This record gives sequence, C-alpha cells and structure tokens, in this order.
Amino acid sequence: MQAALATTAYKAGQSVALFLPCYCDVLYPDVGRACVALFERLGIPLAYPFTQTCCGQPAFNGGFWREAATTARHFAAVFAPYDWIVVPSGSCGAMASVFYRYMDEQSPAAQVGARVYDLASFLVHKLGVSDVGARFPHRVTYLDGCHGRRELGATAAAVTLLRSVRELEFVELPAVEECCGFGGTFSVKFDELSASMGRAKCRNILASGADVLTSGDASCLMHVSGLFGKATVPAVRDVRILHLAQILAMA
Amino acid sequence: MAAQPHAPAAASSFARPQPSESLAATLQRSVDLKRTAEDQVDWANLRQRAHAIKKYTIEHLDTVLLEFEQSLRARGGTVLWAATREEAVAHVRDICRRHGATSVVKGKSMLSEEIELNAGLNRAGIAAVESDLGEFIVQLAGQRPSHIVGPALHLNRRDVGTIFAEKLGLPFSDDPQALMTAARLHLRRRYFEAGIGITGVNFAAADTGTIVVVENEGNGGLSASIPPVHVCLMGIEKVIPRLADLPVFLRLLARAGTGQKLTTYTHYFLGPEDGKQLYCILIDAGRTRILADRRLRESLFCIRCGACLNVCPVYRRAGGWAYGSAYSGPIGAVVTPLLEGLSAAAQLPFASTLCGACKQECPVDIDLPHQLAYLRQRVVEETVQPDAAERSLMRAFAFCMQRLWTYGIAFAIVRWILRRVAHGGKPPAALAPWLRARTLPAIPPETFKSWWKKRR
Amino acid sequence: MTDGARLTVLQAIARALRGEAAAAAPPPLQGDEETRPSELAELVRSFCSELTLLGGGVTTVEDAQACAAEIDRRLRADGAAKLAVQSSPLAREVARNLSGIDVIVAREAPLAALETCGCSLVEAQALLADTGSALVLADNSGDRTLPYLARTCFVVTTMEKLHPTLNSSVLLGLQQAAQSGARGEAVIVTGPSRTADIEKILILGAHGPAELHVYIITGPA
Repeated sequence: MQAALATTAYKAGQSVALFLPCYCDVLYPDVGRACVALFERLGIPLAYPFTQTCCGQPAFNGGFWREAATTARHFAAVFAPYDWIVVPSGSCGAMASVFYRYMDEQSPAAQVGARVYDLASFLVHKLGVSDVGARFPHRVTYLDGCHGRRELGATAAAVTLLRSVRELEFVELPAVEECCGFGGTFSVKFDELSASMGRAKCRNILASGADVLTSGDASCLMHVSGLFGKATVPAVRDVRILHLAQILAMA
Repeated sequence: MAAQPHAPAAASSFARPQPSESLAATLQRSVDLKRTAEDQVDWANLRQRAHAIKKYTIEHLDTVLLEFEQSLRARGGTVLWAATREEAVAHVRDICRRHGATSVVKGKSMLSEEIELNAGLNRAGIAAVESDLGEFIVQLAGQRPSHIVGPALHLNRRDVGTIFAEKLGLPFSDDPQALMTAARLHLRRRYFEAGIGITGVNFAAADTGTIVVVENEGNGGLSASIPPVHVCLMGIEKVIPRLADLPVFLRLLARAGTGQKLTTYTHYFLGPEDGKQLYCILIDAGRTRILADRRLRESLFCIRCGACLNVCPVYRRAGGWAYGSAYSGPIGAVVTPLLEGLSAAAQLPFASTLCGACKQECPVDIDLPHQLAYLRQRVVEETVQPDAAERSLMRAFAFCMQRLWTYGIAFAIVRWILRRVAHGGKPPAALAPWLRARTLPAIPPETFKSWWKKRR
Repeated sequence: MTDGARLTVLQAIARALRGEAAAAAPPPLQGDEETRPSELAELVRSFCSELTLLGGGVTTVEDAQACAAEIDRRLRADGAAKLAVQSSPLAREVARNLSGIDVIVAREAPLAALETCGCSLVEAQALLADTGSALVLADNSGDRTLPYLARTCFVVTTMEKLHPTLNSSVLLGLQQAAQSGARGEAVIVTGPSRTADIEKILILGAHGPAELHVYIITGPA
C-alpha cells in the first residue's frame, strides 16, 4: 500500500504531471483528454512531459526485470522534476509506486515512483476533493482493477468520486472482487483462462443492470469490451464503456 | 493401484481448462464458510502475530530445529533427518523393516504425497492404506489429490459413489453420509492390522517437543494411537518456538482452511507411552533452497490451509492436477518451482494475473503475487523459457521505450498492424489467442501525443 | 545415514541464513483472555451454545451418580452393550455407578476389544467456552483411543474446569503436563467427528464418534 496516504496533501503551486499509459496514448486518447479537461475544471495546472513512454510493466510481468529497469530509468528521468505524478490506471500506478521499489529499493525509479498516484486516490486523498463538478445521468457500475484494488487500495476513492457525480445512479457489480482475467500477457499466453474469467465478469456486468461500465483501468475495459464485441456472452444489453476519468470530465 | 507419477505442469490443463461447475460450487462453499466464521476475534491481529512468529522461526530455523530435536528426544521420541525425499522414504522403509511392518495406515499428509511415499513403500512390498476420506477416495480411484485440504473435491458425489461401487463392490449410492459410513466400516480393522501409523505434522513446538496434528474425521487419532509405532513426517518449516504460540495458528488454520473455530481434533502428541515408539522425520527436500532465496523465504510460513486455492480464479478453472505437484493453487505455483525444479515448473508463475486475491486471504500474510512476479524473473534468468522470440521482443520493447522517437516508431507499427487486422488482414501469430474470444479495440484517428502537440 | 543427513540439512540452513540480520527474540506472547467474559453463567451459556451448534450435547448434573443416571438413560435408548472407560478418577467413579452396561477399563483391555465398545467415557481436564471444546489427556494406548473409536463418546468434568478460551492457564496446564514427562497425547475435542471431503458437504460422524455428550458436574467433588 502507498505509505502515508492521509498525511501529505497537494499544496497550491506544486507541480502535477500526467503519466498517461502507453496504450492509452495509442488506443484510448480520450482518457488522456478527459484528465486534461478534468484538471482544467479543477483549476490545477497539469503538465504532460512529452518524452514519457511506458512504465515497463509488460517487461516486468514477463519476468524481464532488466528490460523493465531500463524503461523505469527513462520514466524516472522524465518525471523526476515533478512533485506529483497522476496516472489514470491502477496497474501502471502499481508498477511505478509498488513494483519499482520491489525490483530495486535504491533506484531513482523507486524514489520517483513513490510520488505516483492513481487518479482517484490523488483527487480524494491529496486534493481532498470528492465532488469534481461532474454530471452523468446514467446507471453506472464500477469494475475494480485488481492492482488498484489490492496494491493501491484505490477502491474507496473511486467509488466516492462516482457517488458524488450529479444524477449518477451507482450500482454495485456482483463479485466485484473477482479478477476480470486480463493480466497483461496472461490474456494471450493463457487466453482460454483469460476469456473464461472475462466471461464471468461480463455476466456479472449484465446482472448489475448498469447502462454504463466504468473502471480506473482502461486495460480491464479493453478486455471486457473485446469480449462484448465478440458477443460470446449472449448479451442483449448494449453497455457503454467509459474510463473513470471520462465520467468525471462530463459536465 | 498406483497413482500417476508427478508430471511437469501440464500445459494442456492451463491452456484448455475444463472448468467444472461442481468444483466451482464446492470452492464457493469453502469461501462462504470462511466468510461467515464468527468474528469476535481480531483476525488482523492474529495474522500479524502469526506472520511475526513464523518470520522469527524461519530466520532462526537451525537453532529452533535443534531445540525441537532435543526436546523430543527428552520425551522418548526418535528424531531422524532427511535431506531429500528419497532419504525420507528410505527412513520410513527402514522403520517398517525394523518393526516387521508389512502395512502402514496413514492420516492425511501432503508431505507424504510430495515425497511420493506410497509408491516408495509399495516398491518395497509394504502396503500404505489411506484413512482420510478424501485421500481414501483418490487412492481407490488411482488419482492424485487435487486440493491441499480436500483431496477429492474435484469429484462429485456420483463420482465417489461409482468409485466405491467399482472398487469396494458395494451397491451404488451417492449419499455422502452413506459413503462415509462405507469408508468407516471398510477402514476399521486397518488401524489394528497396520504395524505403523503415519501422520503429517501441522506444528511442532520446540520448547516442549510437542507435535501438533489437526483433523476433523478422527482417523488421525486412530492412526496415531492404535499401531505400536507412530511416524510423523515433518517439513522442517513446520516448527514453531513455543507451545504457547499454538492458539494463534490453530484459530487461523481452522478458519482459513474450513471455516471453523477449531478443527474437531487438535492432537498434542507428547511422546511415546510405554511399549510404543514415536519417530519424527525432519524433511528438507528443497526447503533450504527456498530458504536461501530471500524473496521466496516467506512462502515457508505457509500453514497449508488451502484458502488461497479456494479463492484463486485460475485454480478454480484449471483444477489441482494442472500444477503437476502435491501443492496446487497460488502456494503451489510459488513452492513447486523450487521443490520440483524451475524448468519443470517454469509455466506456473505465469499462469496468473497477479490479482492478489490469494494474498488477501492468506492467514499468515504471505505476499504470493509478488513472489510469483519474482519467480517469473528467475525463470527468465535461469531457464530457456520463455523462447528466443519473446526475449528478442522484450529487448526490442525496452530499446524502443527508452526514447521518444523509437517509442513513436514502435507504436506506429502497432497501429498499422491493428488497422490492417481491422480491415480483414491476417493477424500476426502473437495476436491470434486474443482474437479467439475477443475483438480488437478500434484505432482512434490520432494518438494523445499527436493531439497534445497540436494543442500547444 | 542419519548423522550425514542431519549435518547436510543444518549446514544448508546455516548457508541460507548466512549474514542475515534477524530479530533477537520471538515476538512476545499476548494473552487473549482480557477480551473474554469470565463469569460462570456466561461461560456455561457460551459452551452450551457452541457445542450444540456443532451437533454435540451438554448436560449439567449435580454429581457423579446423577451423571451416571443420565448416561444410563441415554444408553437405554442407544442400545449399546459395552462402554470403555478412561482410567481417570472421575470417569471411573461415574462408570462405577452405571447399570445395565458392561464397563471395560480401556487401560487394561487389549486394543482390539475396545473396538467392540459402542461408547466410551473420558474425563476432560478443561472445557473451552468460546469453541465448545474439551481437553482430554491420555497417557496409555487404551485411553488414547477413547475419543475416537466408539460411535458415542461421553465426556465428564466439573464446573471449575470451564475456561473462556484456550488461554494461558490451559496452556500452562498443558505445558506442565508436557514438562513433567507426561507421554501419550492431549487432545482438544471440538464436537463429534465430521468430514466435508465430498463436495464440501458437511457430514457428522466420520471415523470418530457421531455423538459427543458432555456432562458438567456442578456440585462439590
């Protein structure tokens, strides 16, 4: 768990940088645009260090720690100048704030990683904000990415933010604690296990009765969306899929 | 009938899981039982204490074991040591010979499965009779246990009824009560016929030389008390410093393992009474290899409760045999590579999303997902898996992620491939598994970086 | 071979732990009894409730004779012909007062004879109120089989043996037994035997007793 969540808070004048997961840059740029819009509305200057690339999680997950460390070094160099680093992803957030340290406690990456927060935790625990001024009149359920849930403890913050969105009807996802089955390269190396877990998640999403599915992790959403697209679950409802940042950016 | 020998983790079982609805329902019952176990107790506190006691013990393992050895000898017990599983089996064979035993009756012991004791005894002409109901069922069926706590949970009642009908010549019944009664009657005289009773060890207190075994059926008590010789098989990590440490572990094990406040029988074996013998075989069999790796050492804290299995979405779908080891589920994936060999078990650490449900359930707070992540690195460093193609890809990935322009090229290629596939082109082999059950994400017209650049 | 393996294992451990900084002493023991009720009425209530939930039975009786009368009543319905008794003073006293059943002293009988006994009678050295458990000590083979062998097991004890939990005084008793050279076995029995090895469906009555009845003597010894 990130240390001292409750103690330090953001002070005006401090620098905040957006760390946008590489796959969001390339496949889900709306997530990044939503973060920019959200921070604009909140009046917090948000930097985007242009030379950022990737946190290195695919290498770490594959057991390639040397390659992960190389990538982490670049990450550290890019983000070192900033007081706070915010990432709209529980799994990339865990990579930087937990696994950099796990690989090498003494590394610069571990030190920079200690200043990385997932979006929900930053808003609620560091900015002290739960109502971000959003309006979204839909029935929404939240898919809790496992790293965000268990490595970062970000669930409560995410739910608080959603419940504070005007006219949003929040419904619990049945078996929310069960993994959706994405797991990075697991989704291709063990694709049948992955699909089986994902289909169970899809059934629960449909059972929730929600019109909109959201999550703090676009990777989990990519996996679920892919399964919905293949209609392997006899899905009747058309569930709209949006990242948490996108809902919070709605006015 | 001999069970199948350990096979290297069957790739097919993880690749083509056959989730069984009855196993899923059974495991859910286990999880629910644990959740509803009454909560007057401060579990977080117990967990923390258990972790600390185990940590101390493991970090002083030699001195604590020596104290145990001395204490058990003072109570009239005989302590034997085995560096390998073969030595452990040889000890048991020697004890059988020494006491003229041609059959042994066994209480449940996963360690005995790990060292393949039954096969070793059978080869020497000694029969090994399992008395625990789950072990008895799989022994009749010629199968390996599939779960640390419930060896036969992969079978439903009809399966068990069929096995009993075929192997015991009984009229078919699938009523669990009737099946238990049949097993009880069949096994009754075995305790009296056996020259040796063999049990495992859940905990061993070094200060008093007390051996603690927990069970619910009563067969452990019968196996230990009726034959004139009692042999205890003990992994070296099972020792704890003091008798007074036990209540913490007994509560945690009962709750996490079976949703109980205490198991039905908690035996404290105090040493052989007149005319009887008690042997305790201290078995290493690869545990010192785990001990030597600081990141994996914590897995020796395991009290074999099975809670991580019950909650693991992979175990639920792949089943216990997929792990090719006596230990399955998340703890199996962590210890098997070092007990059976990294190459043989290379797949195990990867068959996981690192979701962390196991760590959340673990009563001694073992960080299983981190250990799995670490083991992946050992596999990469020390074995020939993953293959050269993946290694090249990772090196290329790392190179590209170090600077913006290579990052740009790499992802331009990715977008190009995805666009081609979206327009009906043949997907690269690496993407084929994704596409079997999923569609690819749509390609947005521009990347975030491109949008940001224009904005500025 | 033994000495070789012993040395090998100890050396492997020493090598594995070489140069490690470790805690100097095990974590201090923490007592659990502070949070638990200790007045007798509450202990009895808790013990009864816990054991009943597990499918066992509890009866309070005034003295050993009353206890024997209760057991006789149950045996008439049960139809058992033989009872095996533990060689403890209280158990023997209760057994002496039984009528209508053959009593076998477990310590003196051949083990195979005990198999034919439909029920057994043991004394508990402690009762644990929070789990409905009974602690039985047995230092010879015959007595050791009594909690497991027969279909019905009777446990007799006195009120002052009731404790809130497996706390330090119970452990102290165990420790003393252990240190005074007692051999055999101390077993904490928590309800009748059971299994859930088939589909995790709970069955009462496995290899051990299907019935467990505890009799607590309330009067003076």
